[in-house]
Amino acid sequence: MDWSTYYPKFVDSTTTGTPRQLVKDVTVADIGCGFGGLLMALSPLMPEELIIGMEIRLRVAEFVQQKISALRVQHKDDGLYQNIACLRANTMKFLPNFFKKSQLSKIFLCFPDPHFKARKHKARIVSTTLNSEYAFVVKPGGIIYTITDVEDLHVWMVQHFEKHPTFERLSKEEEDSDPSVKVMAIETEEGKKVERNEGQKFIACFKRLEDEPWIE
Amino acid sequence: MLTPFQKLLYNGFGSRKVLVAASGPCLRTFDYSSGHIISRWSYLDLDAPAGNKSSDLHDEDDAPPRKKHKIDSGNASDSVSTEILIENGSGRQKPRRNGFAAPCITHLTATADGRHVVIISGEDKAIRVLEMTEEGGLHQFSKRVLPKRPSALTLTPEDQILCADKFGDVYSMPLLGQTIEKASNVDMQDQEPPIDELFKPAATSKTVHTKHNLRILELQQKQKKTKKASTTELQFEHNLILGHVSLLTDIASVRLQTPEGRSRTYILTSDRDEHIRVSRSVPQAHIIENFCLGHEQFVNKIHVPSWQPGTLISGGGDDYLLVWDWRTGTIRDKLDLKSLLAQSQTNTGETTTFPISVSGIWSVETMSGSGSIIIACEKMNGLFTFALSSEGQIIIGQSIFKQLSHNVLDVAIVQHEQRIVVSLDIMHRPGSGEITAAHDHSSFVVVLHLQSDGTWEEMKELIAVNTHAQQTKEVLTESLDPTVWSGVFYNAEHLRKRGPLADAEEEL
Ligand SMILES: C[S@@+](CC[C@H](N)C(=O)[O-])C[C@H]1O[C@@H](n2cnc3c(N)ncnc32)[C@H](O)[C@@H]1O
Repeated sequence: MDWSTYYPKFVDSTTTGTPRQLVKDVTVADIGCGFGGLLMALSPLMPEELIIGMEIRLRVAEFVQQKISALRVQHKDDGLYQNIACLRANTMKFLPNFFKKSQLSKIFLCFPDPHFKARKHKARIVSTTLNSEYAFVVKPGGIIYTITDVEDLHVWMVQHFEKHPTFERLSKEEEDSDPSVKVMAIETEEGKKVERNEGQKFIACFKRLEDEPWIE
Repeated sequence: MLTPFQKLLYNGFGSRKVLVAASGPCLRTFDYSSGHIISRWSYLDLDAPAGNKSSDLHDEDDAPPRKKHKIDSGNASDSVSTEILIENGSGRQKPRRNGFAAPCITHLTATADGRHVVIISGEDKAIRVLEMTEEGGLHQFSKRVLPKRPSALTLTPEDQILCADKFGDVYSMPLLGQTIEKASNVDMQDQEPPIDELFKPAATSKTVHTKHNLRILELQQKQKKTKKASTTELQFEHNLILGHVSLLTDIASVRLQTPEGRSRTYILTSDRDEHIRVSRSVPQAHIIENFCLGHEQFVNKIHVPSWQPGTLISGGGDDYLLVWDWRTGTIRDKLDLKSLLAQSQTNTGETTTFPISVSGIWSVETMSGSGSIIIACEKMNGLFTFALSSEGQIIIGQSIFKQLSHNVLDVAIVQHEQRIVVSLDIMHRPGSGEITAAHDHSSFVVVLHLQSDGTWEEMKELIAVNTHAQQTKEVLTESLDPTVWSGVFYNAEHLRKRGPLADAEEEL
């Protein structure tokens, strides 16, 4: 994976070779980032982290990447928005193609498509088997953030993460004290829509635990 | 005449040496030493009329195993085949979509002790465990039907069945598990929320949703009134242990010694989307240890040689094979099959125009603690064979390509003799899928013996298998249309995604 075109300001100039290496790895992923509202909000909040938005719709991903480029130009002087980028990917299939084991410290799953029909539940972005892949790319102690306005989906996500031995749900207090939770609730496009409709938002966050010792 | 064997297995059980051959929905066993037929087994004989579409999960066929068609001739050497024709059912069986009276056997394996043979038939989604009799015959011990079509099968060192389906889920189940009242609960078992909950309106009026979602919601509410809850729970012990979001093509269970002398078991899985995944074994299969990323096309087969358990060989829709250190996911070597094939064909004057699909990878261990790797490609009339260095480098010996008279369908490994039995497709023209008129003298199977220089020598053995296959007067219930058989013999290439559109389908 060549990240250099996504984060040109973070290319390691002390090395050569292709692809060009970055001075640090991407550590935060917004999966199904849509139009990228959360990325823009997280950028100044976590200036030390490289943040990637991943979106399956090609046109949407391109749009977000253009928006980021424009923001970078506007902010030439303060150097903002260099730490965010967006790429097109079907994360349900290709997450491990982008990240090494334990590379990420945070994953955001904001307002995922609910796929109401039971027959379509396989298409949901959270499942016990998919959660193993999230566990692979997230380091122990890292956090998965989920938010939705569909209670059924919320229950589903909680059930499936809680059933996975590698995850543990954060307590209400831990959630409340995490600034990322607030940003996720108000800065995503979907979050804003729900806000306007005075709808409910259901939040659940899960800590990735250490792998259990091998049973040999 | 019989139809070619799409699956072939050597099975040593006690002092019995048996060749198990699957032809369409039928299994035949042959005495390996003499080549004489021992028995014929088919679930056509066991199952209720197969005409009714059996998409039902709870196919009731779990009555105690019946001994049917026991045609064991007792002493296999008293030559004449004692086959009995199917006496029931066949008249009532309507041909299925695929042109067969019953689903064809797609996977065939046996336990290490040879006592049990496990088969999968694709269309009816069934896994069957068969018991081998003293005489080398087979009878059904159990039949379990999965919710989705099984696409890969293996047994763990502890004889647990691991099987995967075309939606990427992998299940484990006990070999001798029988139908039980309720599926047992284990950690990773994916449970749908209880039915009540499923049919509870999934959103409130304040939920933001598209018109589409609204429509579904209305539908759902309607359904709630009309639809009886159909339980999706399987009626036997099984656990969902891991899953890919892709068709699962192959699965391997590997036991390794750690440097500290502890033994760890892993599960390796490959999929249609280029991935090979390394997970811990049950009960920790939810922990992914690694990925082996390097293929650009579907992966169809993965194989770990017994003498070099840290090495993995993989192949599929790419022009090349990869050799891995699978614990670290590093590529040790790469073999360009396409150019090798082109070379071998300039010798014979043929040219390959169709893309390469690896359809089988096997190995035979030698005394010296190394061995020979054997590769088959779809519609290819020959085998690639090579050795491996202890660092996982490919060592090409005298010749890497062993040409055969017809396309290879399957290979049975006879480890203790360092031989293999190759099943050939005498219905189709060598090197292609074109139909050919089978000759009466065409060999259904050939025996190859590994030589000390690493080459494979053709042996004049199992002649009785070929004679039987050519001359039997058995009335076949299977379709004889070679175009139909093509679908049974050749299914790797179907995994290839075609053009950029294949990708676009994901853009919901
Ligand atoms: C309802 S939108 C939410 C967008 C954004 N997170 C927000 O909260 O405003 C869900 C997004 O997930 C994307 N998506 C769905 N499945 C995906 C997948 N497998 N990989 C990547 N993105 C996906 C959809 O295209 C869509 O843009």
